[in-house]
Amino acid sequence: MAGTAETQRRPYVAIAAAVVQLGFAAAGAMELDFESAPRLLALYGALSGTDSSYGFFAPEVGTQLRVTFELTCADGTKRTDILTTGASHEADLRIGDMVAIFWMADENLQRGLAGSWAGRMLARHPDATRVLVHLDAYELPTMAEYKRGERPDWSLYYEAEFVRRAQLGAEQELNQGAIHE
Amino acid sequence: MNSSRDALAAPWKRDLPARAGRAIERFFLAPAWATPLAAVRIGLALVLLVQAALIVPAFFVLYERSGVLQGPLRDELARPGLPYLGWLIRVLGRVGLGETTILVSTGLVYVASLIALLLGWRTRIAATVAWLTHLTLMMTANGTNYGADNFGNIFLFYLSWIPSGAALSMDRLAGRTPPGPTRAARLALRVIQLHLCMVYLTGGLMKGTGAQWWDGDAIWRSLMLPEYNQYDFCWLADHPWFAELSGWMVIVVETGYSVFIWPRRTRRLWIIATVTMHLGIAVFMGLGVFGAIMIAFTLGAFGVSAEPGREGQQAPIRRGPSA
Repeated sequence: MAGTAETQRRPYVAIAAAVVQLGFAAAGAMELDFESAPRLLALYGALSGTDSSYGFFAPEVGTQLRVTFELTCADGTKRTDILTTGASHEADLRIGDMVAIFWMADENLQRGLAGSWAGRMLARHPDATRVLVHLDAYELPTMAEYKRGERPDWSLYYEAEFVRRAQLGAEQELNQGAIHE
Repeated sequence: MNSSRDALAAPWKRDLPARAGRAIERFFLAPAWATPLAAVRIGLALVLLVQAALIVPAFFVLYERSGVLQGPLRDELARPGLPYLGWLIRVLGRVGLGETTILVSTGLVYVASLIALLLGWRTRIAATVAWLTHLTLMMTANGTNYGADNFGNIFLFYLSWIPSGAALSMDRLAGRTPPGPTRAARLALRVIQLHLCMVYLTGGLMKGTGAQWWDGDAIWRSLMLPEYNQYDFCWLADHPWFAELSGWMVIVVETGYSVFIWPRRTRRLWIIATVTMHLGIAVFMGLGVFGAIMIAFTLGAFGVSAEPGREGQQAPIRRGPSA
């Protein structure tokens, strides 16, 4: 290592920074809770992305939720719609990730999510007055069960109805949510 | 007898810390070409540009306040302290700038910075802008992000600091970056390589703790869930050994990555195995962007030589750490 004291020292500052960065990456990999860390550390973890964990599809592969909407118009006609955009698989993966929040969300957030999607649907269908948000969980049999003749199916996970505010009149906004495990 | 042994051992013992220090120094600071860093930069920029093109048709559905995550919910999901467009829209709304203008401008700046990053034009500035806009868009639609976005954030952050513009770039052609191998390039490459090892090691270990990865059910479920299902894999139920073997292979490739990617003898094999695994994920699960990003990282970080003295790379060695 030739050079002046300055050039001798600078690489070690860089190494120290690298060690700190890798320490953050290790903390993220070990799924340490950055949100309970001091604010500055949490902020660095989020900015650098080192608060990410890498247990994709681990330790188990779960199932998925499907969201469908049943829209009712003022004259009583019904139609159904879905949230996926059809723009690209990449775009629809994001919709799927957002729907998956539902698994971990508390009741308030679930209601908020369902309300948000219902709002989107009512905007897409201006003639609809109410919308039933319907979430189903995919039930996939194991390979052995499949071989015995069982087949995948969807089962109801959550349901809530939302009514367009303008249609409510004196009624309070209707939000009849029911959670089904 | 003992004293003569001690006398024989003493020079070796005395040398140990110095030898360890030199080995560490060589590992982290031996001058290296920036070509692997440039490969990571080009690979990441290309994949993120393709991803942007795939998302454009659904851009407003995903990011505007009347989209799938509507206003108040979007604010609730945003992480405090991080940039997101909600506050910008509120602030700039007072001076008459609408949400659409702000969203489109952010998207255009993001794409322009990725193009600059791809070409290596003002590379660090381009990387910093790409990282900031990428993070802003991530936080604006927090809840719709997945692994590819997180890795985009991590590596754009790295590219803001590391000398990835010192090779295969317009900056290099214009003489804005120094020629030759540098210690900074080696250190940056080591950080990226070690980070990748952590990613695969923890991924492999976590899978190893789940029974599904040993009995093939994880592979079955990954291929059969409607979200990922691309082809008919019902036949796996008649040949469960195939799913079982595939699950074991994933654990072996991911866990072994941090060990077998380093020795020259096994590196090529592990690169091929890792690339094959990600190609499988891309083709059979439809996770093309995620697969492409991970392939770009492994190929760039471990598949491109950084060693000085190779043919056509005879420029003088620079010792400056801040290239």
